[in-house]
Amino acid sequence: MRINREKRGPGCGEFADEAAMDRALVEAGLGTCNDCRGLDEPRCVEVCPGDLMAVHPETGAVYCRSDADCWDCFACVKACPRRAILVRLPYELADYRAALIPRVHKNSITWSLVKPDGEIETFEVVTRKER
Amino acid sequence: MDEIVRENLDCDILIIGGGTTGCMAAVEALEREPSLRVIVLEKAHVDRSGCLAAGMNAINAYLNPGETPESFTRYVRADNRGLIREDLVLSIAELLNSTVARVESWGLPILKDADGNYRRRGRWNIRINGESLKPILAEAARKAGARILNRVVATNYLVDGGQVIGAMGFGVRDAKFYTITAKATICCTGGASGIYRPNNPGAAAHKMWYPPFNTGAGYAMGLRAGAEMTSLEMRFIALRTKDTICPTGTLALGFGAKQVNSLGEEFMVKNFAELGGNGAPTPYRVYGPIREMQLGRGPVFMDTRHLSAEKARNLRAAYLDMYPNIVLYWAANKFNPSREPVEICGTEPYIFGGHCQAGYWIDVKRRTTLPGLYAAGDVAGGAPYKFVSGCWAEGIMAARAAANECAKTPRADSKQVHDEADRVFRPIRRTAAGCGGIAPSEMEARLQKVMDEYAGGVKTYYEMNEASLKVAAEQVERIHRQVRYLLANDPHELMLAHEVIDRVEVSRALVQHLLYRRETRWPAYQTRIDHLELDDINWLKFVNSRQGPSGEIRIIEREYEQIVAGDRYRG
Ligand SMILES: Cc1cc2nc3c(=O)[nH]c(=O)nc-3n(C[C@H](O)[C@H](O)[C@H](O)COP(=O)(O)OP(=O)(O)OC[C@H]3O[C@@H](n4cnc5c(N)ncnc54)[C@H](O)[C@@H]3O)c2cc1C
Ligand code: SF4
Ligand code: SF4
Repeated sequence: MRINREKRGPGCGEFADEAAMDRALVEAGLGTCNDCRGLDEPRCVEVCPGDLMAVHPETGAVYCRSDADCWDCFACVKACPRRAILVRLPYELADYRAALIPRVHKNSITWSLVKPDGEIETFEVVTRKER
Repeated sequence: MDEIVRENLDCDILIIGGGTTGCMAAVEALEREPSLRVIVLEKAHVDRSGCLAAGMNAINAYLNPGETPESFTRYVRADNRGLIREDLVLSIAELLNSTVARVESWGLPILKDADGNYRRRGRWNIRINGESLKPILAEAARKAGARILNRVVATNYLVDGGQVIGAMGFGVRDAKFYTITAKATICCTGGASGIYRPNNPGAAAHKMWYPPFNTGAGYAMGLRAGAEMTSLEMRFIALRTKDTICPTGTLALGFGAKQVNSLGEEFMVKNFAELGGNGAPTPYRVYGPIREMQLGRGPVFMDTRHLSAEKARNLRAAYLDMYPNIVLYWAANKFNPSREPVEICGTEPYIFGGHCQAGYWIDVKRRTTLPGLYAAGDVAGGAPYKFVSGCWAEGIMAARAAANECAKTPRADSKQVHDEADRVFRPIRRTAAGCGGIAPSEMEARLQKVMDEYAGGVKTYYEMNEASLKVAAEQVERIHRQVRYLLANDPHELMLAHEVIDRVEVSRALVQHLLYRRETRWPAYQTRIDHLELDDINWLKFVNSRQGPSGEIRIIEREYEQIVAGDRYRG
C-alpha cells in the first residue's frame, strides 16, 4: 500500500530509470493525496474492509496501519477520488516496478497497467448495466 | 479506560454481517414487509465488505438449460463424497435462477451470447462483470430501507432463556458498546480464515483467498451461546495460483487450462481417470496436485501455454473483475501466461459453508438450534457449493422465516450486558492499566503455528492423525486459557483481539471434529493418515458439536438422509 504524497513514484532513487517510471505513472493517472480534506471521513478510510487505512491521530495524515494486513482488494484504490493510492506487492512476491491504476467511471473502470519498461496497457471493464 | 459509552437499539430483524447474504436478506425482509425495522450490523463498510470486496467474475451456482434442482443436488452430493444435507441443497437450487435475475435487475452485468442467453462457464457457472457486485447489493439494502450500522463488530448474542434476542458488540470508530435487541436475528458473518498458518509468511501474510477479515465471529458467537455446529472437519482447501492465492476456476473453466506436473504429465487424467480426471470431485482436484508435490513431481501448474495473446489479455481482464493483484503480479514479474504455465498450490485450510459445509446446523427454513436465531451463507452448514447465488438463496429463506416468526418483544438481561461489556473492553482496560500481556498478532501466530503443524496445515500436506490432533487440542486449550491476557491500544486493535479470540474458539471445536471422524471422507480437506479409507458403513453421518455450559465441546452424531435417488458417488 503506498499513498502518493509527492510528485514522484514509488521507490524513488532506487532504480536508475525511475524518472521514466514516474512519467508513466503520471501518464496513467496517478495523482497526489490531499487527505480528503473537507470530508467527514476520507474515502479510503471509509471503505477498507480491514480497517487498515486510517487518519493519523497526531498529524491528521492518512496512512496504512499495516501493509502486511492488506488483502489487495483495491477497494481504497478505487474509492480514492485523486487516484493517489497504489497497491504495491511486497518484494517477497514481486519486483516493484509495475503499477495498476483504475479510473472509476459511472458504469465501467479503465485500468492502466504500467509495466516495468514504462509501457502502459489499458483495460476497459464494465461494472454496471447502463443507468 | 473512561466510562463505557453505550448505545441501545431495538429492531424487528437484526442481520449480523452485511455481506453477500446479509444484504440480500435485508432486501427480502423489507420487500415482504416494508414496516419491519431491519438493522444490518457490519464490522467494515457494506460497500466493500466480505468476500465480494474486490468483485466476482462468475456466478458459480446456476441451473443452466437442461439442469434441475435434482441434477444439481446429485452433482453437489457426488462432488462432496456422498454426504450433504440434500434438503438444504434442493431448497437452494429452487431459488438460484430467480435470485440471479433479481440481482441482474439491480444492475449486475451478466455476459450473454448472440442469442441473448447467459454465457456459460462450465456446467453450473455463468460469466458476469461483477466488479461492482458488492456496491450494487449494498445499494439495494439501503434503498429497501434497512438501517445499516457500519464499523460495528458483533461479539455475542443476547440470550433470554435459551432464545436469541439480538446481539452485542462495539464500534470500531466510536468505541461505543452496542446492545441491539431484536425479535429475530440472522447470522451472516461468513466463514473463517487465519485459523491456520497462511501460505505466505510475513509481509505477504494476507495475500490469501478467503477474506482475512472474515474471522469466524458467527461460529464463535454460536458456540458460546450453545448452538449446534456441523461438519467443521470438512475444511476447504482451495487450489489457487501460487503467491497471489488467486482462484483457478477462471483458468480451468474459463480458459481450458489443465493441471500438469513438472514432468509435463496431466496427472489428474493419469491418476484419477475413474473419478473423472480433470473433472474429479473438488477435493481430488486439490489432493491430486498436493500428492504430486509430496512425491517430488512438483512444482505443479495450470497449463496456459495454449492461450493466444488475445486470450491472455481476456484472461487478465477477467481477473480484473475479481482479483486484480494477479494482473499486477504478472506484470511486475514480467510473466506471460501464453508462454509459461501458471504455478498453483493448495491454500491454508479455511472453515466455511459456502464451498464446503462447515457451519450452523440449520433446518430447511434456515433456523438454527437456538430459537430466534437464523443462519445463512458461508456461516451456515450442510449445504456446500453455495457460492454467491446459493448464499443469496439462503439469505432469502432466512429472511422469510425471520419475518414470519418474529413475535415477542425482547428485553435484554442487564447482567448479561454488563458481563459482555466487561469482556469486550478487557484488552483495552488491561493496556491502559499498564498490565503485561499478549498482542493479538502474537496470539494469532501461535494459534496458526499449532494448527498448521498438528491439525493438518500446509506444512504436513494437510495430513493429520489422532496423536497430532491431541497435541493440537491440548495446545489450543492452553491458548484459550490465555485469551484473557490479550492487549489492545485502540478500537482497531480491540477488533484484532476479538478476531483472534473467535478464531481460538472455532479451533477448539474444529480439532474435536477432526479427531472424531475416523475415516478420510474428503482427501486433503480432511486427510486422516491413520484412517485413510472412506467408510460408508460407519461414517455416512454428520459430525456435529455443541459447546456445553462450562465450555466443553460435546460431539453429536446426526443422520444422513438420501432424498434424491441415484448413486451417491455419481453426479
Ligand atoms: C476471493 C473470492 C472470490 C470468489 N469468487 C466467486 C465467484 O466468482 N463466483 C461465486 O459464485 N462465488 C465466489 N466466491 C464465493 C462467494 O463469494 C461466497 O461464498 C459468498 O460471497 C459468501 O457470502 P457471505 O454473505 O456468507 O459472506 P461475506 O459476503 O463475506 O459476508 C460476511 C460479512 O460479515 C461481516 N462480518 C464478519 N464478522 C463480523 C462481525 N463480528 N460483526 C459484524 N460483521 C461481521 C463481514 O465484514 C462481511 O461483510 C468467492 C469468494 C472469495 C473469497
Ligand atoms: S481517498 Fe485518496 S485523497 Fe482521500 S485520503 Fe485516501 S488516498 Fe488521500
Ligand atoms: S487494498 Fe483493500 S485491504 Fe488493502 S488497504 Fe486498500 S482497502 Fe484495505
